[in-house]
Amino acid sequence: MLIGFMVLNPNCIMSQNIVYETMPELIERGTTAFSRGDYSEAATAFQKLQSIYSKEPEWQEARLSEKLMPIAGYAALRAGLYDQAIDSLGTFLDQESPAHSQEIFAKYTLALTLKKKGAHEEALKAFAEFRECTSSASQQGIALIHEADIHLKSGQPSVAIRLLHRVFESGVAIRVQTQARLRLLQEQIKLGELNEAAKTLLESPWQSDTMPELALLAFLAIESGDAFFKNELYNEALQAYQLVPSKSVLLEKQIQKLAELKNVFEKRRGDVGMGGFMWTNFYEQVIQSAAYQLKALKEAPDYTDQLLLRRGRASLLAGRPFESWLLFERLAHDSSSNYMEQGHLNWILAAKGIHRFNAAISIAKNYLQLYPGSDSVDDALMLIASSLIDSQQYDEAVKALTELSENAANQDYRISSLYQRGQCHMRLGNYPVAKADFDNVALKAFEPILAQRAKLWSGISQFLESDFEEALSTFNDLYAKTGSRELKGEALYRAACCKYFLYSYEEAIKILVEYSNHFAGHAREFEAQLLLGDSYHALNRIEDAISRYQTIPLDVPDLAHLAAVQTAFAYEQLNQYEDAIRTLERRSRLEHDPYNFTEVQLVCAEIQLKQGTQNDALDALDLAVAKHGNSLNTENMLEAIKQLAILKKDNYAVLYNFALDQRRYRLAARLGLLRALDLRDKDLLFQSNEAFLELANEIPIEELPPECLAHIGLELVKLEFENGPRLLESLLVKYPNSNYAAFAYYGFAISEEAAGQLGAALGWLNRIGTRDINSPIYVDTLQLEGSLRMHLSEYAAAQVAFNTILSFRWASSKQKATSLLSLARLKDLQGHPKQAVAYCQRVFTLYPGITDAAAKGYLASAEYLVQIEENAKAIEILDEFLGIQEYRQTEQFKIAKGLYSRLNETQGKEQKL
Amino acid sequence: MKTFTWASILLTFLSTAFPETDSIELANGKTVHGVLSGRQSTYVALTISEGQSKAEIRLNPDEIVGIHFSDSDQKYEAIKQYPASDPYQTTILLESLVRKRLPYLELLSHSDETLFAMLLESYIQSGRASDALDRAKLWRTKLRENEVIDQLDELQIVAAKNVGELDEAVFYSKRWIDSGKSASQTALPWCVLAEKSLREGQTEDALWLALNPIVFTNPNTPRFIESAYEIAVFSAYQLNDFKYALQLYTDMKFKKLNWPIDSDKADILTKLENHDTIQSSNPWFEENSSSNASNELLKVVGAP
Repeated sequence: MLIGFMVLNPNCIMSQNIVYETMPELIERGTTAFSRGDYSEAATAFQKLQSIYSKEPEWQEARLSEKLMPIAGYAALRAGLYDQAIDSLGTFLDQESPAHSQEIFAKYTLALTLKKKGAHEEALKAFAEFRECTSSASQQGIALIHEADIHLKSGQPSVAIRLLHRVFESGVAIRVQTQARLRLLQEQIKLGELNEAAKTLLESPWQSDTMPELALLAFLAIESGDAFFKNELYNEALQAYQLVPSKSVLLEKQIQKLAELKNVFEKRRGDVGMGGFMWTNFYEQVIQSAAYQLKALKEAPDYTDQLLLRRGRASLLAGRPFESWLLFERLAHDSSSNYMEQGHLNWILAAKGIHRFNAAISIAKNYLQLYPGSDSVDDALMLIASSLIDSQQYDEAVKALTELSENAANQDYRISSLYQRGQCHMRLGNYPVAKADFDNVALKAFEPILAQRAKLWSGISQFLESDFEEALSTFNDLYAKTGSRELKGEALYRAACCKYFLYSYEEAIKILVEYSNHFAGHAREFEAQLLLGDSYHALNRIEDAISRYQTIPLDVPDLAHLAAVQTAFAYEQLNQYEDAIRTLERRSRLEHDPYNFTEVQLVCAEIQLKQGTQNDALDALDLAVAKHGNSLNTENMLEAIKQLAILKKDNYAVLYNFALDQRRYRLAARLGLLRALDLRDKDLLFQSNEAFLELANEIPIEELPPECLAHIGLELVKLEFENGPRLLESLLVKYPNSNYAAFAYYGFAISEEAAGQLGAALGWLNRIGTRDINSPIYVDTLQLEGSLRMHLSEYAAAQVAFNTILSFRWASSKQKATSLLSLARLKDLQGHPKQAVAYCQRVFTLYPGITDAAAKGYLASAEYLVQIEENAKAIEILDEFLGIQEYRQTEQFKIAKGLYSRLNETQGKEQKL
Repeated sequence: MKTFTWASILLTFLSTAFPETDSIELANGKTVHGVLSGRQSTYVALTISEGQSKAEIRLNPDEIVGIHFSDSDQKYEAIKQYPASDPYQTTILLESLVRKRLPYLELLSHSDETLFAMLLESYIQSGRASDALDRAKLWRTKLRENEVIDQLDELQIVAAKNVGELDEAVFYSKRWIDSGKSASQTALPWCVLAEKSLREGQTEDALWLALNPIVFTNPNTPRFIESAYEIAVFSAYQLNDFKYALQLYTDMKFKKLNWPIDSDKADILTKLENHDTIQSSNPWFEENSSSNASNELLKVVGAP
């Protein structure tokens, strides 16, 4: 430091004659004060020196202006005497060709002084001049940071940001770059330029091994993370939080870095000359800032657990539930943390995030035990309910939601619970109950949008209950009242659906055209086109239908698939078989989904068969079987194989063994199943059961496709084999969306019934909704339900179940006869034996060919008549029964014979009397 | 209480400097200089020379505060140069240093104990993992410095892995985790257990294990963190969570971590890249998995 003084000629100075202080004395006073950091004293001395001696020849000869003025200016700056500093530095700079290093120093000091004085314009100009003067990129960078600071103070943040960017992206020393980067980040966050802030914070690594601003970075990263989180930039939020170490680690590192920085500074400060002043100044600022950060960090409360919570939330929302689970679990178990409860609550969400619904329920229940008085109890209950919904445990969910809807502290929760409960009832097929919940929400919800959504769902419930007129009125009402474009479009589309189902195709078309004109880009856009096509199709406007189907883009796979199939049927109707087949062939080339592919091939084969090209049909089916016959998740493959075998007159047993030899187990399983079902259809029950057992033994469970798991599992349950329920469980676990889920519920219900758990059995049956109406076991499930309810004395509900069976046209005679017998039993239990007799008589009158049922009907009828002391009629019935040859082999025949004898005997005695 | 035990003739002498000798610092503040001559029973033997005379003293270990070895220059040179480019040469140097310190294991200073860990690492680097494994077993119980014991524990896992003693590696890894040690320095124990889970077909367990050091060491990068990422990426992919596998792989790149050179799972990268291409060309491929969580979380818990 102060090397300028070393070149002064002492002889020149000593020759002056001063009244108060000599030149050397003043120089000595000034430099000494400067050295000890007493800038005020130094500035006074230098000012006096300049005012008294600057006109002296010695001053000029010794070039004292050049040597002293920069230091004098700096001292004045540090003493806060800005005008004096400007004067000294200006004096120096006005000289001709000052030494370069001193010129840099003076220009920087002048610029800094002007900045401190608040002369922003002049300061900016001075810094620009300084940058012109120096060739050091880092010095230019420091100046730019000052300029940015001035622009910020002058309310021009965009200019400041541009300058800071320039420094950050230039090749300046890392410390300067880091300073600029931190300032840039601060300003970007302040201005809400979050995408830019994310780039600044995250795009390149921080030199955390060397930078002393660790604490500042940590605080800024948390601040940035929070801003990203609020603006749904969850990935960025997570990355920002990940930059922050725990407080203890940060404290340790900050202490270490500050010590290192001071050490480096102290070592180097003696070596830098006047030109290095600005470097010194920069270092001093960095040290001061780092020390301040350390102090602030020490005083700040420990943020570590809160940070874990933030990271957990950001992880969850960034689609990383595994990580959030780990973070929340740790917090939930850390008894020293203030965030234990919050961690525990969030942990439930993490469990849901990875679809561990049972775990979520268990964590939530544990939460309720640990924090019964928490404000979040309702939240936890809601999460339990929503986990039950997610795991398709709708019955349990209904219970939980009922509890919430009645007892939640928050009124909003009560209403949203009703809404969710309505959704559960929808999934259980209880549409009227669902509708009641939705209507309730529509009435009570404070949020108009929730009320309107509830209205929409109320309409959907009506639609699914086939109340199309009512549903139409609901959708029209919603359309008229809602302000939401999404709901308006939805209501209009659904109104069109109602019209379609009411056979008002012209009106459906009118609505759908209106929809197309006003709701471009709406969620139902392409579904509406499909429905429009179907409506034209129904009106026999086949070309119009085809033109609508063809508007559906190929990149909406499910709808494009349906459109292709419908187009093919339309062409078929026009007898344009070639066009139909071409449409399907084109679709099959694009189709990646095995189920859809198989469906296309099935339709194609059907049309080809109608066209009379059986070989082509065989080829189509062959292709489906060859391509996806051994796929696991192709539930319609069974139909394709069946048709192929029928057309080729193949033997299932041979094909089964062949597939087994080839280790194509899934195909073999399907062939084996078809064989067993075929035997059952032929009433070869023993052989059929044998075939089912053989299948279960020969094919590993993991190779069984869902339809095989369903059929085999159910048969094994009926035969009371232990692994039956296991197969059905596997069906639900591996194929939660299978169309065969009803088989599993039915199987479980049979097992529960056998164990005497009638309530549990009903619980399983409740999971089977009307969506399963096409399932081959649907009627059987109703029969079981009726029977269970009868045993539980729920007579009205039992009667509904049996009557439903009778209302199905497709129910078999045997099923209807069984249902009538059950109704007879029901009436007997209710104390109406006459009605029981009527049901029995319907059995043997309508279904005499169903030998077992008819025999039971005769016998039961006679017994009920005896019960009401109508013995003569009973004898008449029995007489008829015993006279029919076909019933002689039934077990009822023998019993009836005995009863007949006893009745006749009694009758005879009565006559004698 | 006696300062130390005299077993033979005691020679008293004074000296100010003993540059070529070993020295023993005693609990009473005195320092004894001589040549360390091993252990006699539990006592530390030191041979003291005076002119032509020699005497051996036996010191009770309880009275010893520290031992200073005469080869300290070599020791600091070895520490300074470590890890050297030539592990064979380093091993020879370290072996001689360690041999000298071996009888006094429980009395060594931190820097002397460090030599043992360095030697084990040198053994492993020079293909003598089984030597490392054997020695580690012998030394571990006697060393005192936690930092060195941690190093030894980690090297023991590495050595067991290298010689194919996977069960042993698993045992040491479990010991590490069960003792409550964090992953702040090394992710290896979690990686070893995760690899075991993968071998047993427990892919999800592997993912959980590998994620542990990834989640709890931010923003640090402990040793073997690349392997933790490798297993996590692989497991997520095997669990059909392609999106998460990609996220983890992207994290790796963001943190400038390289895929392990000796990875047997490198083909997963090609699969991931292919999957990435498919994904970007099929807009409907994207699963909107976070939206539900987002709604639920914000509704239930609120923003920070």
